[in-house]
Amino acid sequence: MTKSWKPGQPVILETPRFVVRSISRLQVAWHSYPWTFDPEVMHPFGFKAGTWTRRTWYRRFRKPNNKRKFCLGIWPKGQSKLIGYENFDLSPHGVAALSVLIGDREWWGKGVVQETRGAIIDFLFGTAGCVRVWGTPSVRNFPSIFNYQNLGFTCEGTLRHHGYDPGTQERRDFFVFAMLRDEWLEKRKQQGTV
Amino acid sequence: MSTDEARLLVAEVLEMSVDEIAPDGALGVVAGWDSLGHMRIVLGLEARLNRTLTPDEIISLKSVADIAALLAWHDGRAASTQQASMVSA
Repeated sequence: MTKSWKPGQPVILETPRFVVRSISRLQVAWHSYPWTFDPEVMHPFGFKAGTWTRRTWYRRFRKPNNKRKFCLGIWPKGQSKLIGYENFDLSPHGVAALSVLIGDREWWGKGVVQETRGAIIDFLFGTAGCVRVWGTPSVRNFPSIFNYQNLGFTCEGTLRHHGYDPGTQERRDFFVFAMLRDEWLEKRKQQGTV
Repeated sequence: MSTDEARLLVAEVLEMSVDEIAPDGALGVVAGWDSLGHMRIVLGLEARLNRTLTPDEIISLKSVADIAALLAWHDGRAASTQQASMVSA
């Protein structure tokens, strides 16, 4: 873990199988562009598939500054191919909003989010001074719901008609999942990892 | 019995033997009940009930017991609806 990290510096994390590190806006847009043609990747985020140019996809990303806005790429160790990325914004009051996209289908169902998000949450609570992390998956994004529940997040409620699903062309409800610092540290203590 | 039916449903969608699905099995504990497995379980349950689950129902599905409870509730409701229609007929 990046114990000596200071705001503005790239974040570099390591898990047993993956390297998770800061990536530039151009890099993430370039490497993730092929995924924009996959409806199963795009629809949970309310994006249409097959309608993006490299330019429009690039412009969708905000420039990460590693202070308040972060984008971390996920690479299997020993490989140069990006398989996904995790975005998070850090508020001045220590609240981080998470979102993740695993675009490489070969890695679906293989615990990538469980492993990498665990390391990211350790970083947020242990190094970046966060007190709360949260995320808002669509109620039909079952893999994402699994990931939040299995990591021990609490479902705090439902945002009704908060988003749009291009696949069904219907409004979608979204869940609010959150984890507090003390809850995470207690969980890690029970796992024997702190 | 709903627990057996829940175990059967989980076993079928995860392509496992029923014997591998313990009555106290849960998400992240049962082998194969990972993120994709969870999606298959929810979609399998919706196919079994022939309807879309509500957000409250989706969020409640963390274990075989939760699935059994939903099946029992649904079957009980279906039975009482059938009984009511027979009475009024």
